[in-house]
Amino acid sequence: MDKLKTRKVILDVDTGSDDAIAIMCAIKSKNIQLEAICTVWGNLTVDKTTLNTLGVCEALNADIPVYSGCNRPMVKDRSKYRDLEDAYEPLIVDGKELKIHYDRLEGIPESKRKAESRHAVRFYYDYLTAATEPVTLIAVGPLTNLGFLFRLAPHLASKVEQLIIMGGGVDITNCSRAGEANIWHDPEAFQIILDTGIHPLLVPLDATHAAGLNLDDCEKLEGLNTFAARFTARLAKQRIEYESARFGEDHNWSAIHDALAVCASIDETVLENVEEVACRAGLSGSADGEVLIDRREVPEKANASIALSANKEKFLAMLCQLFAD
Amino acid sequence: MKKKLILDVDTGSDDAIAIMTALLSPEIEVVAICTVWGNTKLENTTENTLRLLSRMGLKIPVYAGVPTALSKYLSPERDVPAFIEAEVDGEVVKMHDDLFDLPAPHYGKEDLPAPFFYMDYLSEVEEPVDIVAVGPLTNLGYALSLKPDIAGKINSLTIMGGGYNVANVTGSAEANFWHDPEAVQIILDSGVHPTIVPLDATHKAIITKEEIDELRASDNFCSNFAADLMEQRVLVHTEVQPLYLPDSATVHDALAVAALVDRDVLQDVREVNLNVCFTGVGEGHCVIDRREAPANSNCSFAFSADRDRFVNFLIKTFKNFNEG
Repeated sequence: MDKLKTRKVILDVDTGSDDAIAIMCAIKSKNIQLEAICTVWGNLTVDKTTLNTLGVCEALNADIPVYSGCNRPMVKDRSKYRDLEDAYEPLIVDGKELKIHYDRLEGIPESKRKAESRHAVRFYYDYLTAATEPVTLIAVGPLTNLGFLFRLAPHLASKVEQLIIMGGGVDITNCSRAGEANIWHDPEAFQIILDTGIHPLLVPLDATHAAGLNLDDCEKLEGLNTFAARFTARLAKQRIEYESARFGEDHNWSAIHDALAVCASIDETVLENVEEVACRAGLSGSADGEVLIDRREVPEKANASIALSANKEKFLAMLCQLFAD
Repeated sequence: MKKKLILDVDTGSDDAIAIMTALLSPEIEVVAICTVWGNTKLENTTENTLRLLSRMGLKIPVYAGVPTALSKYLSPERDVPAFIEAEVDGEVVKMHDDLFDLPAPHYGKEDLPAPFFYMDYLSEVEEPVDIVAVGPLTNLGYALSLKPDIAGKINSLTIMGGGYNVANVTGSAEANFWHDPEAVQIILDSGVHPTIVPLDATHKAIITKEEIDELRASDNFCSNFAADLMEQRVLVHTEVQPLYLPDSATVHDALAVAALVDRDVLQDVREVNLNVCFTGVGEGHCVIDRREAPANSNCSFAFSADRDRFVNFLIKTFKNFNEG
């Protein structure tokens, strides 16, 4: 992977189990110069996602600045007539509560650092205003921070080399019948991003589910016997435990969504069937939070790339290489 | 001690009169002016504000804000143009000219965007400040979203916007609320408890042609400029929005500033629970809880105003400008 180019990256996360693995990928990759991590609400409240993010950095001894961001959607939850019912509830199995994202990630130290004092949106504004070199943004939580940024300063989109978003789903959804969590949580933010013309690369559920990890894969990671590999296996196993309890025993795997988006920034060929599409965010009714793709014979001009599948073996190999030492 | 005031404007004819009213009121010290899109685009509202301040010989910092609504125009069905103009003697007369016919400003806007100014200034300031917002509420909605705790640093927030028995931009909505209803709701949810100066008050506190002449008689730059703007407003009102007195005009935004100095220009101020509608024909509409046992009050809403008191206040205040 060393022959691949190195790029400056800012991560936007709601850590979160798969976010934690994504952060470790970014820290461990020689191809990523991680400039900062911004946090947002989503899987958990922003104070929790921030603490978890700081904890992951601490565990890897990485002194990356962390900026705490928004704690609710831009506008969606201001109306009780929007689709606000999140399908991801805790499950009780044998008296034990199973979650896909525990409030406090287990197995990482309490961070000695705190988040920076600047708000994440302000950080983006200052960083991009001053930036003279291109930067890649990888957003794997609700898009609220970037929505606010580009609402105020759409011209800053020109400073972004590439925006990779873990979000959306074409043939697969999760938070609602129509929506994947990150887009569904704040669809207005996604639409504001699209309207800048930034042309994001979307890594939807269609791709992340194609690259899900099973228990054999977890065992392989554990065999590497590094902290990052063991912690990844631990988080993946927690996710598999929740998902098989919820969706049935046959569902003995879990998508590590956010890590796939980071891996795609290192080597885009981990994604497959990448198509150019014209898309919009559903902002009301039963399509609230859906990524609506123009499916007409003659669609509008493409405003995003979307990966409809992924190469699971390559993804696992990348994780193993990133976490080998 | 003078009241420290931040103005939030989309200048705009009545905004200009409101800015002058604040600057000419000895009770007020204007610490900053934030601009927002609304009556015209953000570049123009900022430029107009700078031109006016420069012409008055002042150099108050101006922070340009958000160029459009937080989210409204993302939905094509909500993206309907709305502005008020009339044809008088074959010529189009607008309620708000895009750019004021004033000399180029002596100074430029600040680099810091308005929402970040609010976040920084209110975090650091010790004594809570007063804010009068007379354009779409996008800047404050933005700042309160990112940093909800700044609500505690707002001593009072007076908003010109909304309407109960009076509407303008649609059958059920007033322009400032209609432009960014979500931003209003964010403010109402924040606990700031604003005083709302709606069309019910501003369409009561109108100024007549004779009174405009009286105001102009002070014969200084501000009184003349305000009188010019008011006369243009009389033309548009007479043509498309006739009021209850002939040859008269509203001066919405100035009433909100006047209310900060003399609360009694507002009348029938009631505690109400207000929500703003985001969808359908009720877009931007003020939904006041009218049940026998309404939800908790989240604002004070002025259902009327004292016209004589307001007009006399304006005439008196515009005597205060001294050139150079």
